Amino acid sequence: MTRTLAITRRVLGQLRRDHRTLALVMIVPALTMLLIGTLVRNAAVQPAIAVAGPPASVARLTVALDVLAGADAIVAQSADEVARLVDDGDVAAGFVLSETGGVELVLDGTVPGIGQRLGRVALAAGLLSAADPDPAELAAAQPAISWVRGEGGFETIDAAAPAMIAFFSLFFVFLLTSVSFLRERTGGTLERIMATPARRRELVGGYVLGFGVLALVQGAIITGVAVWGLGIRHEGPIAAAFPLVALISLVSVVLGIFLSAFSRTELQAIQFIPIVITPQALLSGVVWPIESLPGWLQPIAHGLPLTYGVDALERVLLRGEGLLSMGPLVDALALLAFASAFAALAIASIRREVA
Amino acid sequence: MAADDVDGATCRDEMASQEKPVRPTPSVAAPSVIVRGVSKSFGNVHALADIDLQIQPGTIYGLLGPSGAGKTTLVRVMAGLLRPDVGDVDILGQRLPDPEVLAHIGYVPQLPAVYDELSARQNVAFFAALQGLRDADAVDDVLALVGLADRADSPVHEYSGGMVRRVSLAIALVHRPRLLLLDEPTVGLDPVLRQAFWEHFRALADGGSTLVVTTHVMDEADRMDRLGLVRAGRLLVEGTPHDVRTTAGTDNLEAAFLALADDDEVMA
Repeated sequence: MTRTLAITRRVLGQLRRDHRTLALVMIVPALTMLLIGTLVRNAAVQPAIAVAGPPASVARLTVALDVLAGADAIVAQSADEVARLVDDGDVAAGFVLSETGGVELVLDGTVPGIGQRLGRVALAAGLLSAADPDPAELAAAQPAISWVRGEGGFETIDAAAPAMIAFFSLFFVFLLTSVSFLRERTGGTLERIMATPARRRELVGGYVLGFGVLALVQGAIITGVAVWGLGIRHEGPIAAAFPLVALISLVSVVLGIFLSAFSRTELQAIQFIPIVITPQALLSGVVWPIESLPGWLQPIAHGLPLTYGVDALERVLLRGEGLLSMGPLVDALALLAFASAFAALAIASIRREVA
Repeated sequence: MAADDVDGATCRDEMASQEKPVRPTPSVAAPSVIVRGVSKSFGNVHALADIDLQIQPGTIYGLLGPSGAGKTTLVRVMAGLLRPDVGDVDILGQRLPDPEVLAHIGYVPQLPAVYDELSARQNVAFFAALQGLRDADAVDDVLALVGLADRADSPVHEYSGGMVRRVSLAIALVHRPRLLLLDEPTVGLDPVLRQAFWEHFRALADGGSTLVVTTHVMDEADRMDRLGLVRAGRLLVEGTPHDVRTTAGTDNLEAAFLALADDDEVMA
């Protein structure tokens, strides 16, 4: 244990002296988080829709757009003006209503998604004009909503935050471990350590503790930025995230040590990022939910450690499940299994021909 | 009663063996290093071929030979970093592999493997901790010994090449090893520092430590107590520098080496 702690102290001592790397680990994820949060929030601003036609129909459609599509209506004077606004990209789409109750939807086909969404509004608008309800009544009518959890409704960024915390915990620790352990291998210091009575597992353990501390500090910063900087909402206690962050970074450290055996230069170590990190970013539920993946990709997703990290953090932070309840516990055990397997490989990758 | 006595004796024996030091004391004239019939190949390359040698305590043993002769491989075998394909190595009376004996070996690799971001003190203290040393004085002492006490807290990347080499030496000395394995320790050092290193080495040998020093610089050969000439993984000749000259029939070691190497080639 003394030797393990000596290695931990050294790893942390090296990091403390390396201000640039510290900045990378501490500031970059925080800034990225803030940036993504701002961008996602901004993208959620209501799109503008141009509307032209008889005033009564326009008033009804304005309400329908707000209620059904969350869009702001901009009243145009003619069908031509609607077409021009859409063409110039000033609005996401346009509606031209006729005296006879006809509805024409004007779209820019290169703007994805909006057509489908507004098609249903157009249909509804047609039905509304036929039924001719009072617009004021329609606006006042609020359905009764019972929230299972997340009262008031979470925004995209709220729902994405746990996955982002999981991803950052994996990514930066992997990057730093694989490069610093590679330097240990190529610089001769690993051989030097192996010429002392230190055991390979003590060396791996020292790295795990050192980078684990780093990952926890980083996790605290990212979570702090998310909660207090971006005002992210969460159902479960923030503190429950930390044991999971520690587990994800554990997997990341031992994987980084193992894979550093397959690189001869730092450039080659970096090449593992597209191989190891990108698939996890795409398939582990960070961006798209696992359930939405095509069937043949699902087994692959379930073979990736980050899948369990993301699932656990989402369960704990979003759904408010207890750390020791079934779901998070199964995820944590899966992460531990990955960590043990990678740790065994990492220890085997440090060759010393003394027992 | 008889059974009790046997038990008691066994118990006493066990306690006695626990109290016994793991290694023999230096005063015992047993060789510090015994290499018996050691061969080592990397793929098709025969790095070491049937090496036999013994090194007595308190001596400086020079492994002399051209680059690629197998000197480094032999030192790494002695350091327990490589397991020979054939043959045995005993270090300080312990058969390798034996993690315990590593605590009594100091290894200076060819490249000064140190942590650039850390200070000399942090480097030395780190390896001292891996050796199980808790004594901060040992770190101070060894830094003073290699003349780095003044700059001990600056990061190593601010050091000159010679200073880095001194840090590397200090790391190998901090736990007062009884066997010091030095792989080309003086290459690239200026004459003043080289002289200082050799004075350290001689003082360590006088203090009872055993030193194995590899070099391809012939003019260092006369500083050794004994020499082993290595070429293509084989130990060509062994003895005091004087013996080696006599064997080769020349006064000049460089000429001796070339003569012996030629003989070997003719034989092969």
